[in-house]
Amino acid sequence: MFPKTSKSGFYLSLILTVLVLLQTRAGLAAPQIRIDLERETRKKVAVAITDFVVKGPGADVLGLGKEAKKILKKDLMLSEWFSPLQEQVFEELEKMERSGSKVDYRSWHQVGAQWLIKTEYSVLAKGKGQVFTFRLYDAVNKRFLLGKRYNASRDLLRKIIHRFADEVVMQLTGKRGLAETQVAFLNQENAGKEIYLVDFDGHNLRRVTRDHTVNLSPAWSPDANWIVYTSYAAHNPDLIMIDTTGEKRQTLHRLPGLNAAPAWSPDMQRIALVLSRDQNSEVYILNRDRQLERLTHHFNIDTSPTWSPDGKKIAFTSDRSGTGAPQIYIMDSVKGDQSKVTRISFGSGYNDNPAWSPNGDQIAYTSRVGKRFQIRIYDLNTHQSQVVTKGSGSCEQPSWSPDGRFIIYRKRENDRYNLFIQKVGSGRARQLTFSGKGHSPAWSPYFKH
Amino acid sequence: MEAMNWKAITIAVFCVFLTTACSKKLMPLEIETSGSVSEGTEFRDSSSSDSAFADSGGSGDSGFFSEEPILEYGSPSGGFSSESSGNGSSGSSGSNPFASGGQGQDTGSGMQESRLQSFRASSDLKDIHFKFDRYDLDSNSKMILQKNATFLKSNPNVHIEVQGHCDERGTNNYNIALGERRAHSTKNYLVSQGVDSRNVHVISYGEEKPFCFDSGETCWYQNRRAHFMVSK
Repeated sequence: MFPKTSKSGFYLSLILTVLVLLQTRAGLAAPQIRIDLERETRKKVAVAITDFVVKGPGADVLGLGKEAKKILKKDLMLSEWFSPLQEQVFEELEKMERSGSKVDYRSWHQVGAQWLIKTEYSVLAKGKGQVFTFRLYDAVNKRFLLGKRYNASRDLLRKIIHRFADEVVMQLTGKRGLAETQVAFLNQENAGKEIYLVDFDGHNLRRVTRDHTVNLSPAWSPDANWIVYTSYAAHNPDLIMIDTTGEKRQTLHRLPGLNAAPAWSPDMQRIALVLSRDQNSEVYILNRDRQLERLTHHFNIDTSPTWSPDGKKIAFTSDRSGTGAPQIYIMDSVKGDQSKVTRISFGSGYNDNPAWSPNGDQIAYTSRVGKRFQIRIYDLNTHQSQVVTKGSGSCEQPSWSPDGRFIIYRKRENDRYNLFIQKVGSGRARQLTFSGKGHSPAWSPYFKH
Repeated sequence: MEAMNWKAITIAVFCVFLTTACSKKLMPLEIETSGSVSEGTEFRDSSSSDSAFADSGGSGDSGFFSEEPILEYGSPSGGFSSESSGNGSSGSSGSNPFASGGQGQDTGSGMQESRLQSFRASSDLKDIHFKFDRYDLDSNSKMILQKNATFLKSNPNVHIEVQGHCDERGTNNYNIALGERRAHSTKNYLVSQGVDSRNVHVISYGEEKPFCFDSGETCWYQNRRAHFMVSK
């Protein structure tokens, strides 16, 4: 298969391999700013983002440069890793460097920038789109970190900016950012609930289903290409799979009764779901060959399965310890409740919607506190749980961001239902949707590149 | 001859690595290009005027983008463009993970039939109501169901749908399961009174189809119900 090499050629490639390894290692070790993702409370990195320099003839007549900068700035701010600097601080410096290609690291550092993003764009001939160029510098350590150029049509402007913002986060943390991720959710309409998608920053809202009926509990496939949900479109709560454009739709399972509360296994080979064919809802596994395996065997209600990231366990809701008082339990994903079942929720008479964190060590769930619902997070290491939402609203249906740093949930306040994103450990939340009729948020996994 | 070529290539690659090392670039020179069609359609705006929201972006352009890494200013740029124009597709976005088996199966007796049937509301059958978070029948409910059973036995051609409903207070998942239990316990009682089980189809709507939209026990009570529809 390989071309015959002489001995010296072999040694050369060996040296080369070693060099590559060395470089990779150095590359990983070099940025001292690269940090541990584990719940670190560090100061945000101050980043200066310059105006887009328009290359070629004409000014920024379309305002694309302005718009692009706005998107990038918001992305980095929402990442909660960066705090964009006020423009006034570096106005002079930016003007001085505008025409040249030099970066005066010392001056940038002096005005308070730790990192610097320089940007350009040019409009190509009709139909060829725009070219956006980004260069990222570390002003503290005086070096160039990353450069990217994108050629994109007008309608994908947001996408490429999100993509670059995620690259910037990756440079800092070693893990992709969330700007390219999306949230699937239900919106109440006249005829029922339809599935919508919205970007992480609240823009680019689009409708996925047109079922004109009640749809429930959307859940993502681990590759982020599909959404599985329950629909009454065929006069029974059936399990449906749909792609993110809403063009490909397929009925996965439709036994009489419930085919509800689906959760895709991390390896994408199985879907945990709830069936009521035993006259009572039980958790089942549907595998790719459409074979069913029953996991729970109890005459009380069992529902809301969620997988541990390693696929070995399933947390679920059951009122087996008291009818009308559902609690959260963990069971083995193969043996089900025929082996050890561990209850993890205590101190509340009504709990549901467990959501296993991507890092594997926490489970967020809906818990009744007083007369309202709040989101509670259980820590599998300390076996303690903590209520993380508060206030006059009622919070339900938590879903984790793929990096495990945020949760999204539905909040009901004055009969309006909206989705809120909260950084875990901060208590601060931002509103993502404003229709007043948003339900059942499901945060997408990372999109594959 | 072959060995010579191989050496030359190795040395060339070696040089490239040396230069990149000097430019202090951190990331490998990976080329990321995305298929214009697959990526484009994925992000195409699929909402239209009947959307409930105002802000639905996207202008319906053809939708394409490509991406390439670039170097610092002053370094020769454009060196990657030839590679990046390769349009390497990001791949599997279209492949269907649960493709086998075609459409979902339809097991279970009476399923097909009840799906195809359409039901209408009827004054011949009265609703029954449930206590909060309960699905058992009290004596009042049983009395109503006995009357309903009498009607159904004297009209054996009438098929019915028993809908289980809940009030808004619980969670959606739990309520959909609770509604199912309410519908089942209603059906079981009707069958125990001599109604043909094949004529009774159950469905749960959980809290999704409230009868009454206010908050408060009067309204909640009306929503915690088993509702009857008859075949047309």
